[in-house]
Amino acid sequence: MKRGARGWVRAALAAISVIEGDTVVMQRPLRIMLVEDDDAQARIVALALETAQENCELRRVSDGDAAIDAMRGVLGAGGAQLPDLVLLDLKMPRRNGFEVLDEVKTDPLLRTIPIVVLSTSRAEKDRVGAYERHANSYLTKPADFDEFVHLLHDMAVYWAKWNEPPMDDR
Amino acid sequence: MAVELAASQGASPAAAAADPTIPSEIARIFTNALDPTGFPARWNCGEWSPPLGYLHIVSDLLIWSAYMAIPIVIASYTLRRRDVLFPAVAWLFAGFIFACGTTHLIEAIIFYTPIYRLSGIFKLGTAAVSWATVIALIPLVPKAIKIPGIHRMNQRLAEEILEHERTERELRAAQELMDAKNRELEQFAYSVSHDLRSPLVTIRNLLNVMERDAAAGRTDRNAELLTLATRTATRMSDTVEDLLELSRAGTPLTAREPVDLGDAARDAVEARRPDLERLGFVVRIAPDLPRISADRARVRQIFDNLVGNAIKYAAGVDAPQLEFSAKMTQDDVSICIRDNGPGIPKRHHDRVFRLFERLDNDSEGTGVGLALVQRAAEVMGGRVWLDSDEGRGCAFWLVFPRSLLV
Repeated sequence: MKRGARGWVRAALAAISVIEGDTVVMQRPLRIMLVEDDDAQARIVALALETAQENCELRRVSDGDAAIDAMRGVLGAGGAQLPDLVLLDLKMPRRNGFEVLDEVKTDPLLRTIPIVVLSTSRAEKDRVGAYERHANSYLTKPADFDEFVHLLHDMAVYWAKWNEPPMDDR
Repeated sequence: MAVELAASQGASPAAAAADPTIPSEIARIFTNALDPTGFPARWNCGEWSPPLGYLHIVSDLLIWSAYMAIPIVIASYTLRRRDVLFPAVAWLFAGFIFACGTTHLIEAIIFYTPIYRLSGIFKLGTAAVSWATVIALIPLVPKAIKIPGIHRMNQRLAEEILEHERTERELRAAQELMDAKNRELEQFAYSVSHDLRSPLVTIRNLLNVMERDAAAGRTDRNAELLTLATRTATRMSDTVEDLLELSRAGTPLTAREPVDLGDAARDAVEARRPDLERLGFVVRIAPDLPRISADRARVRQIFDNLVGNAIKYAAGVDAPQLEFSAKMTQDDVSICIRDNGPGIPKRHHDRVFRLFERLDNDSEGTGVGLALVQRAAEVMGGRVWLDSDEGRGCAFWLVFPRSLLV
């Protein structure tokens, strides 16, 4: 099975197409794990994705420990539902975003999962710290909701449509 | 001849001054300095026994040799050391001793060759050098008196070195303190910019969604969005309040007063009595909590925050306990505030006192409380550390120097 770029429709731009040969055998939503401690921020991300009408499956966990537990739990269950993408806040209680990156990017079974940092911070030390820990991208949360919608739309399209994943569908 | 000489020697100074031959005689002294004419050798003048004569001769030669050695030593010392104090006087001393020695040599020679004229010239030279030395020395005496001895100099030097080292240590400590303060300030600015910006971004986004909803005539999620916005605004307001309190806690102490830590603990517990009773807390305050010289308001801030912390994490704890106790060591007095709550894993210990760090998602704190505890303790000359691990409760130790005991 291979993930390809065929069969996209505007209403579901971010859908993952699974093709065999030249045939699209199924389309499934882009699985996003949102790691965000703040309920309101998490709601805004969900609302923005909903407004962008992206075909995404959003799963929210509220801190770094929960994120790692969730990923490892999926692995333990056969790995069928690993996220296509992790949206990671930096400032969180218990294990913060940097610690999640440290853990995930050094775990041979998890490190290929793309991690996009989504933070309100524009501070250089946060950006550098994230990339040093092998974050795949760094996005700043816009203060304007329309921009938030655009940002998540573009991001979802990029990761679902244009980005070649490290491995075949899982 | 001998009679004439005796007569001439016996003449009074006044008679000699009037004698017109005196200037030519004086001139002869210098022109015929080595001329022994007119004098017998000393051996032949008087009744010298050989032991008495040799006693003089040998003694004079010994004095002369010693007096030769001393100027050589002084000269070589003065030449080698560039920092000799008063070098001119050293050279005068060397010349004076050399001249003295030479007069003794001539005294010995006179036993055999009566060179009285040369002897007189050398005595005159010795007198001149001696007086020159005296004249040079007198103004130096007050200066020399002020020069400390080598022991005193060493002592002063040692004191200066100690003083210098102390200043350097203080300077280094001040520099480190300043670096730490700068780092703290940087961290503070960063934290404030993030932690105050973040809720603003959230509120603005929520308002944008409500605007869109209003434009579309949609009202079904208004209540939810308003609740989220209100909660975010409240948290932001709490954060600003706490920052203000943190800033007050961090201002330098202007005055100290004796603070009974037992009373302060009782006040803090009393203030939270409803919560403590609701959760079924057992509170123990040791009777031996000391009195320390501190600031009452800051001690209260510390205790209020630590009691609040125990309450915050007591939900779900069977028979929650809170205990205030004290421990004395040789240098310190330590106050322990211990609870039997869920505890803090060791890996988080370096974070708990940092500004805006929260270890629990469910707690309503702003992440300022423990930073404030640390700041207030430090301002009063103390420090705070944590002894805890997951499932073992928390023990916050406030440590003050024993000198603050009253």
